[in-house]
Amino acid sequence: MSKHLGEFEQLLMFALLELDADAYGMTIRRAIDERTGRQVSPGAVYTALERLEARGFVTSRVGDTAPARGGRRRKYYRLEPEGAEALRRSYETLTSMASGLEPRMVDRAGQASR
Amino acid sequence: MSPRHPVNAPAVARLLVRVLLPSREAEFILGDLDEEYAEEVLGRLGPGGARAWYWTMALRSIGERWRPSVLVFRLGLRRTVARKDLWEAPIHVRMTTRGGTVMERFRQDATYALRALKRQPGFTAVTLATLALGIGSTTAIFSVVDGVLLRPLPFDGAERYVHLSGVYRSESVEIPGLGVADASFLEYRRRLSSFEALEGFNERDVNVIGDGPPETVQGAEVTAGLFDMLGIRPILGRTFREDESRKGAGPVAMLGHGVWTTRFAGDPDVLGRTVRLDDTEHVIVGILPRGFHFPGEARIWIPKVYAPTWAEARFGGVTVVGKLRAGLTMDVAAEETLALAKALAEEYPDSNTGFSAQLAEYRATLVNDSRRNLLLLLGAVAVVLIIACTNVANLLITRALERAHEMAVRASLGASRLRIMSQLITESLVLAALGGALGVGLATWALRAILVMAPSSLPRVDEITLDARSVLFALALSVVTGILFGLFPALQGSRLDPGVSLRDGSGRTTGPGRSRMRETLLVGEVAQALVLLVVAGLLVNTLVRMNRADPGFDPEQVLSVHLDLPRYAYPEYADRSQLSTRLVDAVRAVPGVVSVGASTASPFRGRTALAGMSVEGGLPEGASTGLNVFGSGEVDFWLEWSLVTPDYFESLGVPLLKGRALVESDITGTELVAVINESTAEAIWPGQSPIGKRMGSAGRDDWYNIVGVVGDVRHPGLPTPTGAALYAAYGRTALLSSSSYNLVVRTAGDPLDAIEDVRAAIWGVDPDIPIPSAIPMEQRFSTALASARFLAALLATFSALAVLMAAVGIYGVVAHQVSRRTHEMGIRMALGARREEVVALVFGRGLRLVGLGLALGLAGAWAAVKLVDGLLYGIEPTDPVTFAVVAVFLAAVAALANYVPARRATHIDPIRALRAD
Repeated sequence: MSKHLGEFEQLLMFALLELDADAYGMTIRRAIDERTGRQVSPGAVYTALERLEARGFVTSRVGDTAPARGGRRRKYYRLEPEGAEALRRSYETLTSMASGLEPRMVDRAGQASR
Repeated sequence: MSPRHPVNAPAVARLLVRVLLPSREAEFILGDLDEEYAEEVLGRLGPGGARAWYWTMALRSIGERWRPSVLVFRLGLRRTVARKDLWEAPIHVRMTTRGGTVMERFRQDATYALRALKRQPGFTAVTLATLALGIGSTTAIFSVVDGVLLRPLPFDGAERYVHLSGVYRSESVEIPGLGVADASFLEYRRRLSSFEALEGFNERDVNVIGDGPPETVQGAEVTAGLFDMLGIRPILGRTFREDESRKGAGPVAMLGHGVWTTRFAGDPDVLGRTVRLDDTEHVIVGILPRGFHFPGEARIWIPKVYAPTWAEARFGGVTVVGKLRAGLTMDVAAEETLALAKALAEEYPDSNTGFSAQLAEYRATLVNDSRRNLLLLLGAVAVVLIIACTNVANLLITRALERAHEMAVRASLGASRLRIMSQLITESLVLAALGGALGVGLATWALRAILVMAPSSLPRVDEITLDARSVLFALALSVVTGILFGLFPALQGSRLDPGVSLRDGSGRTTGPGRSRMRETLLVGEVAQALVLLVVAGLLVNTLVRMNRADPGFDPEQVLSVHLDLPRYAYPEYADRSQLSTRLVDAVRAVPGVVSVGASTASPFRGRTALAGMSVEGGLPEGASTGLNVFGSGEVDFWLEWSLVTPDYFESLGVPLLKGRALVESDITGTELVAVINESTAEAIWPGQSPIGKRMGSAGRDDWYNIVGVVGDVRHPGLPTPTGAALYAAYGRTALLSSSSYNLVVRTAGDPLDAIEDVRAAIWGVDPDIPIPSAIPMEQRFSTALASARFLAALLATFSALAVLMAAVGIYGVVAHQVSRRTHEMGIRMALGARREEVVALVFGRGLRLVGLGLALGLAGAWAAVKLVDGLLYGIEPTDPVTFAVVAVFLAAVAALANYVPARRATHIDPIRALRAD
């Protein structure tokens, strides 16, 4: 398995960090929406989390329900230490690669919008 | 765990998720969506936005699951096949991978099919659109047919309900569909053993007075056990007791949910209170659940009071519904019922001679005339679906031919014929599944549009929904069509001889057999489109003619008011006559009213009285009286009576052709006078003036002096010929059924503006008079035509779809032929053929096929129009103009679809075409 994490996978793992014990499909989806404005579908969330689970980065358990869910149960996710480690590495890779390049990046992006 | 949903999120979206995703996954996704929808999205986006959000999220979640990479991940293929390069590997390596279970191979095929479809977005889009249209329209119509015709009645053990009706037979006449006399009904109930229960009802409108404006409400007199038989329990109180059906029992009533909430504000302590129905206070004993309306649209129920003497048991009586004992067939019950009817006729010859009984499935009674219309629509969508499938089959065959090389490679690398076939069928199944899913989406929209258009006469309309049954139907349709249209290309594709295809290099050589099959499909397509077009053309024509038909009066600027003069308050005819005068005067005083007339029967409200007539001195020579149904000696002919006030004809805009109209003095004068319509005048006194002649009710001595002739008034929307009619003066002559009373109010401006003032004027005379409806006459027209419009609009839509698809089909076949024969044409042109000749070659071949299709279609249409004969008005089913116009139109469309690709042949560059080898 690759140790590399995709961008979406990183977003998901950050969301798990933020939500901690309250991380299930809906809250994860909304956390990403609120912080990034990105509308992802529940299907995409579960698909990606399934892959992360297969790689041992996250674990899941089926939990309680709520009246608004029509009796359907929630599936909670937890970020495991291995996952946190992979996330840290990915984040470091990105920041170290990016360090000092931000002004140039902003400048180049500005050219595109001109 | 309860499957109930606290929120009204889109049910179809939810169903799609449930059907298309594994159950565990669907549970979490739907839970999330419902939770967020209810707690947050609904408040933020509003109902419309929230629905859109739900749909988007649901569809994207489904799409996610069906992405090839996700499928591969889920199937664990990464472990069995080379990992990263799965999609980059050459096709034959992928497809000839051996081993694995059947399921695994199917998954492999499905994944591959999805990827192949993605590679050809144009082909995929056209195919999916075609399938979605076909499956979508079929599913929408199926939902309607299912709700109205197929689904059992919403009652307990619904398939066991039968309608027991009376039949009267004499030597000259047979009248089916009668009610059963009370006394006979009680005998049936006592002596028949085939029925678990036998109950009856009479539909009866009642006037609800007090607690709000007076209102005429559909109600019913029912036998005590009716609700028990139907398995319906009141939500409050009780149902009727048997002793409440006896004469003299204290009046009681049950209310429907709607009446309870509107008139009594849903008061839970309503039991024991009274409601005034007509002139009698009834004690409320029970409230029935919301949505329960039976019989018909009944909203108030009172006990049926029996008239159990045999003397009263003639015509009429009660409508009887029975519930068969479990396991008993209707034939057995019918045999027993007939035997008893015969026995009763012998026991009570005075009352029961000539009367018998018959049984019918109750559902069939309920849906009556709508059945034919719905089956016609179902037939029409079936044709659309077949054309859609034909097109898809053609597209797939074309594609299979283009991929001949690929298949040959795979065959030569060891893929068995079965394996290639299964791959091709899987592809069509995947296509059909996707098309089916799109079709279901389309069907929800279409169904909503259909229900908006549906005429109010369509029964059980509130039971029509796009539910699990409809979705299952769509699913089954998709699978069947997938296999059907996948079979041709699969057989063809797998039959390829690898040697030939490989040697040829381009896979462009195809045998004659292959194109013959495609051409046959094309011919069939054109023929079917033509049949549908002819039928639609006839019905559109019918609608136009109904709209244009001269009703014999001027409906513009006329307000039509239907009233019921309550007989309990105005028991004598003289009372009603006086009331009529006061009503007419009061309404005439309303500002903006030009003239007012009243009649016992006016357009769109029948209740005319049919009477046997005789002419003074006998029928004149040359009179034609039509059929004499009951044929008795004194009757010369039959006509419809109505009673009118003097200004009636003027207000309605009916032209006076001869003589004079009725005047005030005719009401009080000593002489009886009448006005007849043109049809009567022409039938009885052809070529003569009827003025001064006298006629009267057969067997009575009061002769009516005919003073005038008016134009015929037709009831638009009813394809019945105008009958003979006689108008006598309201107030002078009494008619048995004269509580029906209609005002015709001609206004100076828009009649809509006068409605409130006219109502106020009527209630100024008597605040307890119910006004069932007061609307502009023109509105009654459009309601009367609603059914015809509904049918014509749907059929026109379906035939447009059929033509469009046929055109696409022709285009596809011809375009493919051109590209396939590029090489040949290159040679022809290199050898000196002119461009026009090459075009003619392709075009001519296509035209011959279209011509054959048209010929077959005309023959088919000739046979098919017999099915719609009864629905037509003012046009023959074999109307040559319709046939010709439709055929020319289709020929033109087909020629265009043929010509566009054929022209492409002229752009062939001979040098390049030849060098391509």
